[in-house]
Amino acid sequence: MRGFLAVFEREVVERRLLVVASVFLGLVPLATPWLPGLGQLGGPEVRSATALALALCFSFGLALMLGATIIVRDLAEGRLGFYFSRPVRGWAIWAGKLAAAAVLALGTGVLILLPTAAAERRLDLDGGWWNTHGALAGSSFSILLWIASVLLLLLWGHAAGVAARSHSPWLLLDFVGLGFVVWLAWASIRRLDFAGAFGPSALVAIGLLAAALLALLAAGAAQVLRGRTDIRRGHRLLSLTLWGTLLLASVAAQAYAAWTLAAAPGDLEEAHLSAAARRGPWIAIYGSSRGRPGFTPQFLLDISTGRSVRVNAPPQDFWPANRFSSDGRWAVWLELQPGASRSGPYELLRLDLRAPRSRPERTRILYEHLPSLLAVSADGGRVAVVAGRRLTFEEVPSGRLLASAELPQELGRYEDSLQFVDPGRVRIYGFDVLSNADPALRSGFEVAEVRLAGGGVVPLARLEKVEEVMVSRDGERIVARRQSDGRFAVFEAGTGALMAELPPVGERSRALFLADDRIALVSGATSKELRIFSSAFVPERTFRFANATSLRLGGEPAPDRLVVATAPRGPETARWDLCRTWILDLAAGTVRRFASGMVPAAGPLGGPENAASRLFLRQGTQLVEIEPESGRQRVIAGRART
Amino acid sequence: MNPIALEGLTVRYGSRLAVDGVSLAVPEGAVYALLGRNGAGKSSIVRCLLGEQKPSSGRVSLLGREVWKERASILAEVGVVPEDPDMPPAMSPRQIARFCSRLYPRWDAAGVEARLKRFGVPRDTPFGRLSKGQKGHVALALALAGGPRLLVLDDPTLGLDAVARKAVFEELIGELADRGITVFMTTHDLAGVERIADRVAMLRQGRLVLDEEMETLKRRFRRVSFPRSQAADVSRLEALAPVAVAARGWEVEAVVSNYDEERFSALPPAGQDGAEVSALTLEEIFIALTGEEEER
Amino acid sequence: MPPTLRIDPRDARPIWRQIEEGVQHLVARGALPTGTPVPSVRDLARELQVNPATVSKAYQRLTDAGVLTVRRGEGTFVSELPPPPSDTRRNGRLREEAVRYASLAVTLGADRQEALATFEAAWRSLMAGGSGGEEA
Repeated sequence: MRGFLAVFEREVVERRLLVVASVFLGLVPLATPWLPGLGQLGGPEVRSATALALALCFSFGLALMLGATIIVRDLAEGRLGFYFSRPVRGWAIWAGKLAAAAVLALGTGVLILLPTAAAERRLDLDGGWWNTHGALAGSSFSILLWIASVLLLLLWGHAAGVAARSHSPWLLLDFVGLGFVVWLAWASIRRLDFAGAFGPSALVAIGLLAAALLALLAAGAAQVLRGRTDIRRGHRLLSLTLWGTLLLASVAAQAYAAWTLAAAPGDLEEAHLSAAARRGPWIAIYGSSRGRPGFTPQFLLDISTGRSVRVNAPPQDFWPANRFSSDGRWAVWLELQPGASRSGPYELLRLDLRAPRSRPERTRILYEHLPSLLAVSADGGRVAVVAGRRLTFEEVPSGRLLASAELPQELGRYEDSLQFVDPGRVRIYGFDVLSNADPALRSGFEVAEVRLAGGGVVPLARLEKVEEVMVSRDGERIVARRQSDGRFAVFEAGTGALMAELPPVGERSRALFLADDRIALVSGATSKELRIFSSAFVPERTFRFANATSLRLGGEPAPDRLVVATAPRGPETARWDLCRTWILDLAAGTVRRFASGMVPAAGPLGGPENAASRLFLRQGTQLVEIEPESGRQRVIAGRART
Repeated sequence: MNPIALEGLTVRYGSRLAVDGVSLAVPEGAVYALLGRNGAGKSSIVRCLLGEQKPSSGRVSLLGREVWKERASILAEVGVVPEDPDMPPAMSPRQIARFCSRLYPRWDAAGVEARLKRFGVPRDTPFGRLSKGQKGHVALALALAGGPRLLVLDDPTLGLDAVARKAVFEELIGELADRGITVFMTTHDLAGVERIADRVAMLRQGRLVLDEEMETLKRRFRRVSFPRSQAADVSRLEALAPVAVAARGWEVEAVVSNYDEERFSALPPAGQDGAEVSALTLEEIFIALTGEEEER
Repeated sequence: MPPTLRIDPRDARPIWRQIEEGVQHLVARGALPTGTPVPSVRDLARELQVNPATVSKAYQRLTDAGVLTVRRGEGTFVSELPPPPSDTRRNGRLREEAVRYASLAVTLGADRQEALATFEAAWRSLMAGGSGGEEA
């Protein structure tokens, strides 16, 4: 410790002129308002900007210069023996000199900023950078970043200095090592970025920078402690330590990237259902996993066999990124093209769900930016895509453009929907999709149709002053609440004609279509009443659930069976962790308690052939399949919270 | 425990062998002089001795411990005067002394002042602006201030004038008398060390070709001079087994390294026909052994 | 100390012997009367620019031979009654130098008479306390 302090003090004192210079430089910004040309730009701003610029430039410049001289000059000129022939430890020489350089580089920066900061605070000058951004500058993150940068520059300057002045062939290794390590690092970061794993990629970047700092520190120490007065030997030790460490770090980064991207459904801590094929065992899930912060991988999963395929679709959790063809054979989705920038182009991929060893296929269908809406035909042979104001039909997988139409306005990704009603027609559903109305004043729910054969966008129906709209599975019927009388009614989608009115219900009510075109009407505040109507609007059954403040409908896992979950009230929201799950026999009118704490993963449009009708979410994290008859549970993905 | 012990010290620079398997020991209280031409390997040995450089192979122990590993603690008791005093040029002797005083457990600040005064070195002039002699004096004063048990000097009198040389030796002798330190020095100044060293070693092309007490060395070297006529008797010459033979003017001189009073008394006494035996200075011994002039 | 002691590197004798015999010579000549303090080991070593151990050895031998006495706390002094040096060495030295002188005289072409006369003159001058020409 004694030796460290002696070396430190000596090195700082020898360079005291730098401190004096920085004090003078600190006064320069205060004089800027009086300098010609700069005065007009606004006193406090110019002052602050000058002070900051001077402080950073001086600090970083000094770091580089000191790094390259504080040890290297003595070493190259044979003066390091002065230290080594005295009773001062090698580490004390290294640390003492390094600490002196760091303190000088950082301290001079602070000294340059001080007069300006003091002036602004004291005179309460508004608009000064310090007053407006002082909090940012003073935040621990900024300070840490500054210190880390200075250290990095110091250490790098030292390493470069040794390499340059040793005249030894190890310089070659330095060049090769640098290139290789940078390439490896860049590759792993890019790989992660491309897969949307921004959290892991940031981790890797920070990790590698930290590794670089540590590696430089260790390499410099090795060079001073073991190389001592021999610059060539020192260079050898420096290079080997530096590149050895960085190589390990880069390889670790690559391994982490590979591990991150090798996520499988079994790794998910929290699993969410994104979509399910209308028929068949395939579903689309996404979720987070431990060790991969900020990365939510998405998978196509066959719940009967467990086969999964990771899908690199854009990480927009609530946009049903995946589309299944209704025959259950194809899944299509969009991925960024390899080598593309973050905004596009996107390529359409598809997977044959029936072939046991199929791999995702690239079609050559490209979209410059992420489309707002995507629909796939029943047999998977066509897609309809809305991007901007254009609706296009493409043949899959050839990519042949079949038709296109110009829309009156852009469509909303979350608000509007697109659906094939038959292989040659798509329908667009949404509030004011045709008119250029202000979205805040949305008034009418519109249905429009576009045919492959041509004819542009054909408006079909407009329902004025309705809310809580739901479209039936086949897209032919719409149920909505009329604002005029608060009653739910069913309309024909193709014409907008009223088909039936449902009985009046109170405020907290909702009407939904079931998979078999039945209609469910839910109402009640502290207890829930569920009325079931047939597809001909005939009331069939009524079920009542006491002590339920919320009710959620699941699908029909078996013919005439409906899953329902009810939740009691909590202090703020409904307590879904305490919900009760029921299976209703719509034919017999009976209710059986089926499970607890299980929330239906999908909505009421899932029928018996749809795997999602049997999926439930436990504690919001775990996807569980429950057999309707036996009640047997099977975990699909995710982990229960203990 | 010998203050210095080298075992099989070898130093390589690339393919060049600078020091080749040197083994020597410096006993406590001795004054050990290592001689050798420039490039013979002396500086490499000193660097290895002080733990500044790692030998390619061999052991170096200083004050009984391995110096590469325990350098800092060992050097607290070792005073070093390098060949080219490498103190920071911007620091004055006073500042350097203050810096050093923080590194050594015992530091005689008053002694430094007194010595510098005695040598006539200005205490506040930057080191870089002192003359060579003054630099050497500063280095010696600093080396002695820590109260060392061992003093290592690398050519301490190189480039010094006669007055400065005398001053250096007087300081050394004073320390030897007062504190019984051990001294290891490499040198070219044969005349100077001749009187003060009690062991002498010689390094030639990295190898140690001599390592013995000064007294025995001087006792066994003699110059035997014959008149030319007698030198024709080759067998007589060969019987002497001389190290070097030279013809000078009227005589032939043979330098022998195995002089023994009894054996040589067989020679005819001095006179017209006889051989004359005289002693050699260290420098003359050195020249005879290396076959070349030592640089001054 | 006024009479000087010089070390000659060319001299075949080791330094400690040169000091020893030098002191003995000075004492025998009367240049160092009894009771005179001799310089400390340190001072003599610095003066002669020799290793103090060498001086120390010479002093030790002189003390053992009774030429010098150490008075504790006071220093080293020339003894009261310095005994004569040992026989064999003394005679050998005498003989050696005599041979040398004789050979020199012969070389210079002096005869026995002249050599002897010159010798006697030198002896007389030495006993009178002169300085020139006495160093070995």
